[in-house]
Amino acid sequence: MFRHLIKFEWAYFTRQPSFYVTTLVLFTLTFLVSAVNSVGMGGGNLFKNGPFNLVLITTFFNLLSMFIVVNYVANSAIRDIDSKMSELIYSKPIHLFTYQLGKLLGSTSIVMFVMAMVPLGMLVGSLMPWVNPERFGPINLSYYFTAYFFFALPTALSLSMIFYSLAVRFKSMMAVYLSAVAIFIGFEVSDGLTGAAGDPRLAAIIDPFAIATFDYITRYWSILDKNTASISFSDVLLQNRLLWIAIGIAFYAVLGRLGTSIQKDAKAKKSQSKRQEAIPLDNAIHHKGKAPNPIKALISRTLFEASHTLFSPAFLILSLMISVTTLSIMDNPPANLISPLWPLSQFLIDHLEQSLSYLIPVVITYYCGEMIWREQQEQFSELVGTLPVSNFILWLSKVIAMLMVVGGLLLFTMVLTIIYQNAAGPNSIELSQYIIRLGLFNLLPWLFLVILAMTLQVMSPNKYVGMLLFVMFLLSEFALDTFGLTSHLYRFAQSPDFVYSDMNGYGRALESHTWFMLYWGALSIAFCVLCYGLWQRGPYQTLENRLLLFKLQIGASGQWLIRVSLSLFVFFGASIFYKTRILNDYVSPSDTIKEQVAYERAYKSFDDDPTPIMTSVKVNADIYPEELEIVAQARFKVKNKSAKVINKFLVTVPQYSVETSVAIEGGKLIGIEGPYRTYWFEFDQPLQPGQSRDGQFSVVIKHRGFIDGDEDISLVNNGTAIDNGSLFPVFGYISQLELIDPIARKEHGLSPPKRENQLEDSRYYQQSMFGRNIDLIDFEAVLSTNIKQTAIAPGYLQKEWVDGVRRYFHYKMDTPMLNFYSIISAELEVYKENYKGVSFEVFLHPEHTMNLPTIMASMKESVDYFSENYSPYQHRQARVIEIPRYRNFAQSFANTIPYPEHGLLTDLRSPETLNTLFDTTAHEVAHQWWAHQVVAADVQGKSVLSETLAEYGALLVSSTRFDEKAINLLSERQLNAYLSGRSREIVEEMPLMRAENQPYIHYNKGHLAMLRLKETMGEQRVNDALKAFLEAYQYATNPYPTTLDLLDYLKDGASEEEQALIDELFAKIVIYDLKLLQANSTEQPDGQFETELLITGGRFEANGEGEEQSLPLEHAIDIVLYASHENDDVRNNNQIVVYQQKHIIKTGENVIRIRTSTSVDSAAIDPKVIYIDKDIRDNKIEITQ
Amino acid sequence: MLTISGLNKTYPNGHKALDGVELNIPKGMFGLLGPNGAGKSSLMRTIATLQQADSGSITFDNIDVFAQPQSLRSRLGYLPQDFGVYPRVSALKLLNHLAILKGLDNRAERKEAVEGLLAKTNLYQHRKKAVSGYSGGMRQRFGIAQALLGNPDLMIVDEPTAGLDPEERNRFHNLLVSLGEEKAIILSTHIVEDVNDLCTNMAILDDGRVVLTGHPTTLIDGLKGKIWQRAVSPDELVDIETHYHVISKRFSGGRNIVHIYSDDPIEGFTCHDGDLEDMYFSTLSTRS
Repeated sequence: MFRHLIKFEWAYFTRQPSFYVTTLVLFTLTFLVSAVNSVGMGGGNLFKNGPFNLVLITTFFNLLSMFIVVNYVANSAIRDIDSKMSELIYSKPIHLFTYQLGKLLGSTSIVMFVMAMVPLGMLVGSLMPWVNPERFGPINLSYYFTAYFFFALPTALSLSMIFYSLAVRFKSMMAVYLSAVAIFIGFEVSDGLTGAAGDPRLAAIIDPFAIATFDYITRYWSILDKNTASISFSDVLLQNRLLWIAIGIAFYAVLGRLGTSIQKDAKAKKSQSKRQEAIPLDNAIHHKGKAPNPIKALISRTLFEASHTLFSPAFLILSLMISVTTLSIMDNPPANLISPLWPLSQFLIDHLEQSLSYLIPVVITYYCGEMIWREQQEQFSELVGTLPVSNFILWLSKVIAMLMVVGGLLLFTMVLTIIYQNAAGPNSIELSQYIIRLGLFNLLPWLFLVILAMTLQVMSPNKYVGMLLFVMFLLSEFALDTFGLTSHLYRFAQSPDFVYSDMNGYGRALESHTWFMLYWGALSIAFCVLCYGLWQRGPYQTLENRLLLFKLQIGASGQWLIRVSLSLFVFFGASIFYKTRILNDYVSPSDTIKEQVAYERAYKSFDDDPTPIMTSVKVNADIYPEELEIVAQARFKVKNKSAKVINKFLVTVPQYSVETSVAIEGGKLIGIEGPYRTYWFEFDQPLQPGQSRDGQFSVVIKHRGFIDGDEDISLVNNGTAIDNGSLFPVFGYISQLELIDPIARKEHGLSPPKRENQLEDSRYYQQSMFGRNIDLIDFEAVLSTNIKQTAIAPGYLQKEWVDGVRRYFHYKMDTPMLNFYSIISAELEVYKENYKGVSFEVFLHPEHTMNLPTIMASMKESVDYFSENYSPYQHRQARVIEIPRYRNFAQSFANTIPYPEHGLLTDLRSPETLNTLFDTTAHEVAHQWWAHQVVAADVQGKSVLSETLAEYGALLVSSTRFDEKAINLLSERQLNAYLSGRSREIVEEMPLMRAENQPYIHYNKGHLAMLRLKETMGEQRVNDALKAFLEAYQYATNPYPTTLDLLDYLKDGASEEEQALIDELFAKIVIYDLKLLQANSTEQPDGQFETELLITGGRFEANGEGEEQSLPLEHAIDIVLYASHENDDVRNNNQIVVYQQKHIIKTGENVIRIRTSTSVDSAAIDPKVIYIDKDIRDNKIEITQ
Repeated sequence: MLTISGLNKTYPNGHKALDGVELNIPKGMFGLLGPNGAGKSSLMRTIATLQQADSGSITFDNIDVFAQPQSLRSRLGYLPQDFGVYPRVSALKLLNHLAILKGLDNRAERKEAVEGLLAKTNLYQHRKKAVSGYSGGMRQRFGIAQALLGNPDLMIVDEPTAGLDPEERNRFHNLLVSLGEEKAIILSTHIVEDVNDLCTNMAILDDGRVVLTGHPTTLIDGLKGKIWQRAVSPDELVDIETHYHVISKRFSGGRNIVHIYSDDPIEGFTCHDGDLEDMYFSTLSTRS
């Protein structure tokens, strides 16, 4: 019986085309992921067939598998009802429980078979002869089994049981689809919530797809682990899998109607009210119909179609779920920020777009299918087919109805967002921004997608094929990427991405988006005609039949419309082509790689050639913001600082320049352009060592057309911020242009990537961290811009004047500064404060002044602290300038700190919020010392002298302002960032002193290392050492200092033990593993409390690949006992420290007994995060009494 | 009024559904008889503009149906054999919606007609309930109501009384007959009695071909004295079937009654007044 049922399911599904399609799609996708070399999968040394990547891919497909499960299992469950077979079946003498279970197992086994395509595809892909062998480790089948049996199978099993039960209970496919969407949204929301609430363990346990679980397990995996570690079926993974299997069984037991027959219940008849009504039997029914009024028919039909969807229970539930998602996203800070952003329209609309971006395609996929096939499905098509209504109205009403559905959802969530925004704080609700961004940038492309989805549905033999085709279209985007077709000219209904900025508004996106919408709109019209021409009227007719009648159906006007719309499509396409490829260079990622390779091949050999170095620069720049044009000249002095004669050197011209000239006495630019707009400058009279000459740049940068891809963010209508490297030609070989990815380099026959110069290689000690050609200069600039904007360059404002409609600014710097500056022009409001002889200036967008006090305070306190402890501030002015949020980071130029909008807009109203703005501002101010006073040599560890020391400066200034709890939280974040950063490392983790442009090391580990040093040696001693170091190397250029010099100063006067610590922190990778396993507290006879703590300790030294060796541990580490506060607010985690002492912790188990006079609730080890601990989640524990 | 000539239709699977159909359908009720698969539904759908024929023509009151389907549709009432309804829509709303699509643009007229039709089909009390919750009979009556919307000149009704109880069936017949005067009504059915009772003209369709047309009573007259019947035992049946032209066998009062077509009297058989059913069966059995 059982075998028969399972066989029957197999026989059924193996006759369904969808079975073959899904199997093939899964196999092909995973095969390609594995076999196509350009699919990176982590890149670098991460094996594509290592356990990490295999499980990662598997969990990704787990998400997809849900929809496969829905399709098969739920279909199996309600097939009997749908096909009206149930009465036949249930009258047979079968045992119903067996029957149901058989069907469930049958369909589940099919799901399992289909899911097995994922590891199989990956395995077969890895065997292909053309794959890059470096990306694959030895084949280990157990990794595939782990991925399949631990991750894929339990998910499929659990979901099968859930969906089967739901299908059986609700007898509707829709109910099951909805549950699938609910689980999906629930997953997204809970992921966001638990992630943001800082409880990743909980997220790991409750994630049905085990994505968060896997993330949790591998959070701190090194590259070695990722390639070789085996995942044990225990802890969170076991709990998660058991939980979901249990949920599945529970669903099945409770809802599965085991042993009862599945039939549609006869609807309970309501008792009729007996009230007599006058029955209009005598009404005239002979009124003749005429040709119906098309407008009335259209309106009636549209409302009829739309109300079917809008008022269906399913759609109402969907709307509810969408609103929950939308609001939950609103209330969470974006993933890359620690603190929430001020609820401004620009951010909230981002969130809304994000939450809709994956929901709307689902709605379109599903409801277009429903809409098109409704008449067929409800067997109403014959009636509608004979009505005197044209196909045009039948078609148009469905398109408009779909638009109402999508637009309705948009409107609904928009209103929700506005209500939220209104409640979240006093700020202006920019309705026009809502309407333009949501309407023009979202609804319009969705309309095109609706048209496409409907066209595909009309061409399909049934709704499922139509949905599948549309989903394949949606997924084809990834395929286009793989084939390098990145242009939006190939991406239906899309236009280049853009970021809305309060300062710069839409930028050029309105123009480019409009062109692309015209382009896709024209094609959509052709699709409309196609859809209309193949319209299915009356009983089902094959596509072939309808194609035969196509011309007749669309008539002459339809043919004309196709011709016109396709001509327009070509015309708009050509216009876009002209604007993006003729007026601009279109550079696809593969083009970029080609150019990088060509550049390196052509010029690498000149890398070591000396170039003239600027010693003084006078800039004259006229900025025309409306025209997106800059006309700039620079008069400069160059000097040959090398010992060799310079005969010729490389000049790279700015990316967007339309005119460039370079003049230096005694030489000229040779007019042959190489890769990356690079030319040779040749001297007739060579530049002798030590010789100086005058020169001049003249550049015109002007934007025309628009860009199909990333817009230029440096020259914009409001918020231009262009640095000298983008404004003026650059001399010499630019190693930053080289291709970095080691695999891609190998493919193109390039040598392994150039590492940073060896720390000990003193040849580079004369070269600054900014590159060999950047040295200190005298600087002066005269800028002009339109009358409304302020133009800013480094230096002090000498003069400001207005001439006609233009404003002029003359800046001059009185001390030498790095040849590294930015020219800014924007409509800004300036706020100034004079404090201890320094003018503190903050330039803000007029509506962004919320955090002015924080910024001002941080600048003042930072300058105070650093002047007092290190050296006087070298400028009489400190400026923070707001620029559009296109850049993701603040930067510190001489006395000038440009800050992107979102960096300044942290919502600090809640006292719980970590004040990251204060911290970041202090960091940027600290760079005026670490980077501008002390410039590192161009060798490994150079970022330590700038970033680590600036980070430490920020820690010190923040510590004077915030309480210990906030600082601990800050350090905890740093630890997490370091640990997850090292787990993503693809080359080699370096010790701190040799960090090679590895932000997780020079920022995050740097913070932790300096914190430990400060806690061990004391703030004063560390500061004294830094002060001495700074004094020794202030403005030093020959040689520039390195981390070796820094260590000398830190070690000076340090004890042997302290020196060992400095080595541990800077020269090694040492990691601790402290765990509080148990804590029990008992009241003693004398009324005191004795708490017994069980602690395990470990200390390891890791190599660059993450391989660890145990080191002895014997450290005095903070142990803290807490009691909860009287008015305990759990959320605030308000706890009083009852006990805090250092205890010696050794490798292995340690038992510590502590007596306290009051009772205690929880215990922690190292709450200040002084030790770099593998996992601080186990450092705190509730005490059992 | 409706002229069908040379109509051919072959489905992609090779099945020839219509094979040179020629029919002339005047005003009044026209019965279309035929066994399952004879091509009745294909013919009706073709007339109702729901599918195209491979060749041939259909003209209704000077409208070329294939060339001007829209003109025919505004004068057509169609009740398919099997139809469903949208969920969660009341009869009143659905009928009103269909009325707009049928071109009843005048609001007052539309309201009058819609409510009148619901009353005449005995659905008025249930007009606010979802049609999807109707019983089979009620749903069928709703189908009749919608077919009568806009007072069509041509009505095509496919198995209209299937699922109706005898009382409802009578009511429906009355409604049809009262309307039949000024319309052409094509009634497709396999209930021979209905055709006999209602229709002034009829045709029998078999295997895609029209095998007989005429007026029911005239046709029956032609059978006078040619139908012979007798109760037989199963053993006798085989013998009789080899010797005579048996047109039907059926049970009556538990005995097997055989009807035989013969110009001359047969011994042991009694003469039977031929009815339309005999006509139907004799036509079909002659062909096979």
